[in-house]
Amino acid sequence: MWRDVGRNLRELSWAWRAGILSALAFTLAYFWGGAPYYQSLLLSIAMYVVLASSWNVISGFAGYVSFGHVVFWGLGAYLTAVLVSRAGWPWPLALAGAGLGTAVFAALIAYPLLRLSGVYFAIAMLALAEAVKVGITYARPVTGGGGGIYLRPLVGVDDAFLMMALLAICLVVLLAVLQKTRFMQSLLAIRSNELASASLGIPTTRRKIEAFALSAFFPAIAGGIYILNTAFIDPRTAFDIAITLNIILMTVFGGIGTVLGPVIGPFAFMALSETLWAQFPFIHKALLGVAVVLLVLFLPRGVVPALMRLGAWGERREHAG
Amino acid sequence: MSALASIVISGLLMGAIYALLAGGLTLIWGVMRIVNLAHGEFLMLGCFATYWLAGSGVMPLATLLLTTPAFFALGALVYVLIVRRVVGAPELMSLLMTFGLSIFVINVGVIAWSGELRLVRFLSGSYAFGDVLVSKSRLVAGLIAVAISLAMFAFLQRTRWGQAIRAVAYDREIAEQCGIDSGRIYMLVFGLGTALAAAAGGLASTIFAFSPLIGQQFILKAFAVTVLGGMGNFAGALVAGIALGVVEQLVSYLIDSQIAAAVAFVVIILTLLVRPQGILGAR
Repeated sequence: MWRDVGRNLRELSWAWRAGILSALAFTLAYFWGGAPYYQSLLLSIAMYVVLASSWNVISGFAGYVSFGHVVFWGLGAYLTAVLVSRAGWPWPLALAGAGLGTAVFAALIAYPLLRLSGVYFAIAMLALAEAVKVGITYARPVTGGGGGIYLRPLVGVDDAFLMMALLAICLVVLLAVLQKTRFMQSLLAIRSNELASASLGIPTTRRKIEAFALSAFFPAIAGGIYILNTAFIDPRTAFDIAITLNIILMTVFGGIGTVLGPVIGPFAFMALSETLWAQFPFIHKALLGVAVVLLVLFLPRGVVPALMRLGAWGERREHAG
Repeated sequence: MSALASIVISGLLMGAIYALLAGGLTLIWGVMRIVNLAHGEFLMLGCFATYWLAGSGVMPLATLLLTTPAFFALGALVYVLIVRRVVGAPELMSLLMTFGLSIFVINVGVIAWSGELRLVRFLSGSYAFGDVLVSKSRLVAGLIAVAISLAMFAFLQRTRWGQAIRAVAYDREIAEQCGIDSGRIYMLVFGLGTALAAAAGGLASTIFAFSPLIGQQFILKAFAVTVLGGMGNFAGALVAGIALGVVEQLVSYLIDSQIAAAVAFVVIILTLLVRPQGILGAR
């Protein structure tokens, strides 16, 4: 598999290389010269790129639609906060610990949970996120309960933006080079037909657990960076179902099961919600609901596949696929 | 001992309202294969409808006679306008669409009525059976909820329409070949499900303070009941709803009321893992 990754990295198209370089240049330019308002806006866009891309691994590529993805983000934030404030770890180590801890948690719950499929898995994940929220609220001595945890502000908005953007770029590039590997192809096979995949010799359970752990690791780090910057987290924010739903909407809008969909989605969504917010401060959430319904009715496969169908590049890809 | 009996009875009555709400959810899932994430919002609208009517002088329980048909029509309309288009689509699409509907209704509700808590005042005080005290409003609401659930069950089992609904749930294509118009059945089912949610809301509004956000608390309990009873199993939802009500009350009495909030989620996860067909189900 790692040989495939290396080859895919060498064979990345010019468009991809140019895109990665310009994303890096853009990040550095805003890191040194951007106004704090734009840095914090881009910080949340980058965070949602991480969340949406990681949700897309388990739900887009492997086809296990999760309605509780926020649980990994919230756990990452809480683990980071607890490791820094209670255990006294330096924050970079705490971030890594939060990522690994959450990935291990995901791998442990994956085996029972991924036996469910379809809407049953979606509901079980929803319930899991809520159960973890109640658990953390209850574990008051460690987590501060419903009042949350305060930290000293450790990371400024510029540094947080830089870390989050680099994390997002790493994840997107990783997914791009994973495309033509056995790992990713097994996930697509599982999405099409799990039984047939297993009978072809794909270790479906193992692949699903790996995909689940991967899709838990990155949001946990993003949650950690978030709390290092905001210096406060409580259970209501950390496990807010609205975050899960934003993730799903952005990915579906961009194009579920594509690498670029979860990148385009957050930009479009944030632009839309900033404009709606400015124009209609009171009814923007209701309008968001309308937008969701319209999205499902008129653009269920998302922007990226629609664009791909338009361009000649897309046609060649479809022939090849 | 009498305190424990009061707790159990109170749980039974609360559970009857859960069962009524979940009955609508499980009916819609069983027939249409759609998980209606906006189901709790119909409960919330039912609360407000009862609140208005009670405010304009109608007896709170009599409001159900007005709200239930009105919500049946609303559900049928929502089906025709939007839900119709996601029947048979991948589950993500129906989940997202009903979720969009839910956000829309909640936020319109917040704009219209603000987030403040309201309560329909009706029957204060308690009946005493020996040492066992039972709140009057809870007793009346719980018994009516059970009556409506049983009537709905009888409708599904005994009438031609009910038979047609069960036929479509069993196999849509065969039902269509027997001359059943599945589109009309879907409209009927979505209308009935919505009416059940609104009836549950009307009853709950006499027990609980509510705000436009109440649907979200209830939808998760309704999920737990639906899963525990076996998704699509109406009788299962009735039994499971009452069971969940009792367990929640017992946990909050014996252990802690904060943990009681997690009971529903633990029930969902355990049921899905151990007995995904539900307590009454044979798949």
